[in-house]
Amino acid sequence: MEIIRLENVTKRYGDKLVLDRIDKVFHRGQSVAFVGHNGCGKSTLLRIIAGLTVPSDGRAVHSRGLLFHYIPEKFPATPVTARQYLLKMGMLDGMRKDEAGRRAESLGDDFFLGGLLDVPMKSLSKGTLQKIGVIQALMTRPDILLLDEPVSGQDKESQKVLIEKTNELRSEDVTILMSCHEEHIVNAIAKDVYTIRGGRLEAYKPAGTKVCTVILENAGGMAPTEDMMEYGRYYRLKAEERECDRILPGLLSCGWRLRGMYNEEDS
Amino acid sequence: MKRIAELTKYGLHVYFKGNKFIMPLVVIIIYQYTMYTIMPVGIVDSFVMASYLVFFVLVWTGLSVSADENPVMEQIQLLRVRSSLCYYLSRAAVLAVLGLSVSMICVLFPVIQNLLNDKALFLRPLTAFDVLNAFILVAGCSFTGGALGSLLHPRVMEDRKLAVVLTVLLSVLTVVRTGLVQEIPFFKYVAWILPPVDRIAYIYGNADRFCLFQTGLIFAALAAYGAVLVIIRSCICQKRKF
Repeated sequence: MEIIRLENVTKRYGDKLVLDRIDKVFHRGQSVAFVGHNGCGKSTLLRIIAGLTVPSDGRAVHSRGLLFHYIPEKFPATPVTARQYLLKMGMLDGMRKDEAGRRAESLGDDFFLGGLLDVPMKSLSKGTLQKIGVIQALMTRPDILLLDEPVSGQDKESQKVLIEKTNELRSEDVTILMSCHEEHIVNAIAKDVYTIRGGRLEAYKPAGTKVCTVILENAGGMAPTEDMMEYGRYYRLKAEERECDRILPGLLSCGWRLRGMYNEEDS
Repeated sequence: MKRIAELTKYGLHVYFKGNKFIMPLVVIIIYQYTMYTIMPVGIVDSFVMASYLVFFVLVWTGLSVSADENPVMEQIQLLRVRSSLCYYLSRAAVLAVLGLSVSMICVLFPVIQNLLNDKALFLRPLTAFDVLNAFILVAGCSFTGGALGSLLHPRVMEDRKLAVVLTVLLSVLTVVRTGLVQEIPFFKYVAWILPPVDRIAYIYGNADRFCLFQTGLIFAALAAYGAVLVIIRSCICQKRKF
């Protein structure tokens, strides 16, 4: 079901053309990421989609009564505590106070905040503030979740929780629109990836071939190949993605056990 | 309505958790203490002066509340409430509540002081009618002051130095409007855009008693001007967005 339609959206900042006649339709439950270099217009596009920025030309048409939740790139500090802030945001979403309190507590635990919920937000670190920025957007289920560089400053464990929670929302038909530089986050959340080049929205094609690191256990006393390096009690093998698809079945059938595999760019 | 109330409560909570309220409060306390510890004082003229003070204090408060608004927080709240009208009404409500609180302090302090001084604080006995008129005048000034102070919101005028200078200039022109028109008759053609705060002194400058009809008229004019200023600011913010 179509929920947002961009019609000929153009945005200029002074003489600089940031978005150039973008036409695009977004559907309910779609998961989209915008990637590209800094200043290419990703955040501007997200804000235009949400109706927070006025396009220089064209328009963004929404279905009626959509609830947007927004995770900003830099979540600002305020004098109130994180708990007080989250309670208020939950109540603005229509939650009862006790319900909002329980939700804030539970999300605080999920994001490893411990006792930090009761510390004034102006005293929190950048990463912790960013977590509060994520939690406020997860207090209730929105129709559209906007994520603008959502993981900046966050630890890896919290990034995993964010990925998990975002995918849960996606399975509940929430539309996910994200601007992100981290490829592992994009891969873990978005189905459709676009980039903005010269103001135009284009489908993103990753450049080059990715290299993967494969961690293997020598279970049957086989001799390691010359590509393998000792890695603690395991062996490490580096190969291109397609090469991995080819060699792994052979290695596993010979008695090697797969103990880990990750993309070099994400490590 | 519930969302406006929640947003207003949150706005007030953030304001009082910060330190921006301390200086205006100190100014009010000093004024009250200075004004009402020398006996006896005139009822009407002391409350007329209080109206002017409250106007300036609320201009100051409106300016600081607006300057403290963070665009990201504004964006999150605007999206959440799904109604720009709700959001901008709540911003006006925050200033209105602050204005009413200040008005309450400015009217109740002399009443209490009068009771503590065996009802000898004023030149004549203070009546409930005086208190009612005083509250209406002070509350009207507070609303207009808050609206004028928040008119040049950071989204309306990004240059904060210029916004502060212009706000101070507008508020000073507002209270000297009548005098200025007498000196420079041409000024009357533009003076009408300023809120009629100076009408309070014009009507009650030499009066010994309040007239509810006149007070009501001034209040209506102040409220209308305040509402227009709030609407202008909200429309500009809504049009320009972020």
